[in-house]
Amino acid sequence: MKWGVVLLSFLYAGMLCAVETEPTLFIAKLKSGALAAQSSSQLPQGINKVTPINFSKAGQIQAASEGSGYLVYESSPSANLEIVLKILQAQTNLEYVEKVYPIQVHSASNSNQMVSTLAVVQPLSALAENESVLVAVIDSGIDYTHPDLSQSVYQNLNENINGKDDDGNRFVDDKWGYQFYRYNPNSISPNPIDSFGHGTHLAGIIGAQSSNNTGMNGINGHVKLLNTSFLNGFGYGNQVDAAKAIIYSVDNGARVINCSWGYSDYNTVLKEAIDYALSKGVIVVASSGNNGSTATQYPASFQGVLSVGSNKSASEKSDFSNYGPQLFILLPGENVPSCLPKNGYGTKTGTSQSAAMLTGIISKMLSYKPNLTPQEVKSLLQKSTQDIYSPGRDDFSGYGVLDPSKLVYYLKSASNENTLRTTATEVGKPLNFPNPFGSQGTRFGVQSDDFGTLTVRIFNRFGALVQTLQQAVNPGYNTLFWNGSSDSQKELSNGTYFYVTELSTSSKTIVQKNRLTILR
Amino acid sequence: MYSIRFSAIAVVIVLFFSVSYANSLWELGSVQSFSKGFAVTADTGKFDSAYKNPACLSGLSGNIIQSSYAAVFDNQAQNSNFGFGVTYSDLTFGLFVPVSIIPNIPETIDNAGQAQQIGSFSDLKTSPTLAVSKSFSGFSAGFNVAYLYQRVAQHSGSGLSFGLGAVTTYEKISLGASVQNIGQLSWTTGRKETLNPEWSLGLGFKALPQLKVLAEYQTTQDTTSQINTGLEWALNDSLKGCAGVQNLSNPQFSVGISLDAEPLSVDFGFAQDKQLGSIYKMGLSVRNLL
Repeated sequence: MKWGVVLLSFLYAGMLCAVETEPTLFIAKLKSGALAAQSSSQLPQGINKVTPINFSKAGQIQAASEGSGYLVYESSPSANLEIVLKILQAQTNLEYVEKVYPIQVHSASNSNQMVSTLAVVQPLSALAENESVLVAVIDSGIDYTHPDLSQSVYQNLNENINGKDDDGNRFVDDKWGYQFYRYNPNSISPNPIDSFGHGTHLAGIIGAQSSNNTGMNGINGHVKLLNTSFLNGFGYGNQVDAAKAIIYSVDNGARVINCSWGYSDYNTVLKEAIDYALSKGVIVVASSGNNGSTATQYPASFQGVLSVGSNKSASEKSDFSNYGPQLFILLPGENVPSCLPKNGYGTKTGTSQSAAMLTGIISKMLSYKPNLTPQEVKSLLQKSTQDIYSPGRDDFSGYGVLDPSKLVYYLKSASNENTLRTTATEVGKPLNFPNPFGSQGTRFGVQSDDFGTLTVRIFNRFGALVQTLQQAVNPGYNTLFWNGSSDSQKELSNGTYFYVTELSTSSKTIVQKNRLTILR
Repeated sequence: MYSIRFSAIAVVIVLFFSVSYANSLWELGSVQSFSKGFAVTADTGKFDSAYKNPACLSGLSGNIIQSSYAAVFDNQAQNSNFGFGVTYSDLTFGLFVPVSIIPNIPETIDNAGQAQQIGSFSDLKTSPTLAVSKSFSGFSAGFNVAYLYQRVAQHSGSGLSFGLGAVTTYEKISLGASVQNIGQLSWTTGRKETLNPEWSLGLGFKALPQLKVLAEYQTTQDTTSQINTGLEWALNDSLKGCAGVQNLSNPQFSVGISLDAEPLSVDFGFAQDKQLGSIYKMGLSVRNLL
């Protein structure tokens, strides 16, 4: 036990050192047409190294050598960072200079809450996977040798592991994705395989294979996962590498980007990368953070990003889940089972997992209906929630907890393929059956075109309320049973009663009247 | 004199706390009592109030023929009534024939889990009622008996019900009590239903020569108790307005107007139930025609 504590202390100290010994970086944007300082003799005071960013095919972040773009400055260990920043800001060829902010994965401690991804996976299985969708998991990498992921991870067939850029995309050996941690365009990037486990876990949630009769089922078993790694073996990284990874993912065709990480401040370059992704019609999903507060986290707080929090039950958010005006919806994030490196499986907790769930769901939506626009996706998700806390959107739950069954219905409705039972009955118009009825009771049948609540109030012949019934309704034909007793459970006498039905959905309330007769 | 009044009050109270049964078709007939929120158990000397408390028949002078019609809850049901009252010495007799019909009730069956309408039927209910009231010194007591008949689809039910009532007046205050729905209904289905007892305790106060304020507590076994209030305002000798609130906890407001042009009297009443819709009642009375 004692040795265990000592060992853990060393490990923790080592982890801290891994973070503490990182050189301080500055990101600078060159003014249009300005040339970057290239030789070491031209380096500003306190700067050890400068690296022009040169990786994008089409992104807004251009190569410095092309006359405009970005420079990453690495400070010398003894430098006074405040002075270095002032010196850099005095450079006339730079538009701006910022200290590069770190990034950390959004992981929390496992709780006692048990979550089954089946509750999400099963309803969505009603959606056909018509088209494969490329989803970028921008994280700590993916163990692409995992038996549940090996067929899901995107493989660049135009690239070989040979130290050359076979496909000419400026990235050498990006066959199984790319490793952007401490990216240097002049050196070969390490293997993007995951050693930390966070990225592999997210990948399993999104797209563990469903047809291999092993392990688990991901939300979209036919997704293609673009392995875009930028976090180290402890789950840390920086925003410049993240920006590079985002642009790489966009340029390689990702339709959804999963960002299960963040930081309380942001670099302009990260925002520009996100804006670039959004401008290309890419859906960006980000975890809201695990502080259990209103603390902002980026990229979750950027406009246009779908910020996901965690819920621990159908009606309650997780204690650790960040909330605020940026929050979009909640999905389960506690003790979520998924894949781990080296053929493993295990549970992890955090809004990271919630974000991965939404990413998987969006990929499923796009597989089913490839022509959905980001705005349509957002709108479908928004109305497929179970509202909790304050009616409508609120800062604690966003639009509420996502209900996959609703989503399936709305998706199928959008495709005119609604397989739910429909009748010619007018929406909201009630009819009880059988009528007249005796000891067997009767059912109020109501057609609904949306999820909502049906309330039935029954009055005696003279208008006195004798019974109130209520239940949730689904789109389609719904029935509500009544045994013919009063609200005090007394058997009502024979005769005719008036009833008023109130069908309330998110968009309307339909009130109708009718008569029923008890005849025992 | 005082002992008689105390006895009358005692009778009223005993009646109130007795368990008995009567037919509650009082809601079907009278226009004025409807306009006053049915708070008429202590509304003495009113033929209209006799539907609810037979003792209120006392005070009627001569005879009266009355008829009324009502369209109930946006015309989902129609009620009509014929009434005749006559006084002989200290006895007053009343005959009421209320009829209520709810037409076009959907007849449905279960078709693979969904409602399928296969036709429609009606619910007809009537209860010819004979009431008698006797005046005593300082109070009146009444009794009624009704033959109940109800036809629903192809089945019917019939039976008898009884009711009792008393009312006393002291200066500007009147106190009344009634119990109704003592009886049983037998159905052709073989079912026998004991009617729900319904009892009421009412108070009337003539606040001004032209203003009477009414209130009552009413309860039955299978529905919640309720308090009704009403007032009657005589605008002049031939025109009076009525207003009432039936069931203060779930109020149904009603208003009415009565035009009295001897020997004719025309009544109109209106209420809007927030759930079930509007009720219109119209009535015509002729006094001392016979």
